[in-house]
Amino acid sequence: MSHAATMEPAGQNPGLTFGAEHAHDHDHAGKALSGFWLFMMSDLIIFGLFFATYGTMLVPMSFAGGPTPKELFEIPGAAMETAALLTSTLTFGFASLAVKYNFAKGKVLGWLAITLALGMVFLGLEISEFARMFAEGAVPQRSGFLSSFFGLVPLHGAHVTAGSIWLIMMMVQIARGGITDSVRSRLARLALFWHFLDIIWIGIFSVVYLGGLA
Amino acid sequence: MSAPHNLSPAEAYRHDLKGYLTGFVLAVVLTVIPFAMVAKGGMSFNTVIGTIVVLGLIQVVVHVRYFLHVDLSPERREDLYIILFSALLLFIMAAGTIWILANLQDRMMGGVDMGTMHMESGSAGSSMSGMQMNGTTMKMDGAAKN
Repeated sequence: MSHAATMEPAGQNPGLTFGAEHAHDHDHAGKALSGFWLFMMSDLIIFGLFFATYGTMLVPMSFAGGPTPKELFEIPGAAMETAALLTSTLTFGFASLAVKYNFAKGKVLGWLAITLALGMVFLGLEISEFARMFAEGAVPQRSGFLSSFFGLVPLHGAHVTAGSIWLIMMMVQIARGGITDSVRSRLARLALFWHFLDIIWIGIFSVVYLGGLA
Repeated sequence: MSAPHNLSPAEAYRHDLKGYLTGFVLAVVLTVIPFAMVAKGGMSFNTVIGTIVVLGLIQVVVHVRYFLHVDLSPERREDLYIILFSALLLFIMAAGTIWILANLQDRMMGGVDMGTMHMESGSAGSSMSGMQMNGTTMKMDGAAKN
């Protein structure tokens, strides 16, 4: 630590880097990745507080005589959404490996396309679930519980939508310009984002669906 | 994440691929168990909830380790610090929110849930109806202020 500190002036990024010895912070891509970690963690806090709000709304008073989690949620839908998202995180891993080991760009595009398709399957399942809930009268303004549900779960869906748009942009960039250094850097951040969304989903299926049906 | 430096590219690729597949298999197992428990039913509520929470937390660690590639190595130490610090902040805010609001509900409602009040009011004993009266008074009090 002290040895490394003499190599480079300490405190270049106070608060961001805890020492100057980390190789991945010396290049621009590494710094951008560290910055993206900070974004994801602030996003995590936002999700966490939506989870906390949802948790406080799981009492009978907050159902306001409206539908309860047991009446609303179904295991098969949640299971399929989970399967789609979890598989998409693996296929994104394959895309990352294809980039890291300099596979042909067709392979990278193929894995990204499969990831995107699985993301679309997830969003399709989620939208049809919301449509079913709306048809049953389970709208956000029905009860505090439903307000918090429609705050939390579609927030995750909006993130997946944003990630999918980002994924399309990256596929266009790769198709047109190949796998350049900036594409590698952007894909590394998108990979973090995509895997992060799957971690948030663990919380959603555990707390909202399984917790609600247990 | 990164393979040991003495590996050839092909070996390093297999090493990394194995990492993703290991993470995926663990994640599938940790997902299927709680889903199966809830789908099958028949177990006590506390057992099911406890299993969901524990396996969910383990699965988060699995994802962070195998997909985000944050482990205990010195190279990833600062990412780990950021995650742990965020988790601490999150725990304080989320647990604090739930604690305070549960406490508030307890004080406001005198321990009686309004959602269940109308169902209990017919058959409740004298001490119970006393509490409900209390809860109803509180509610009307709140309504008058608005």
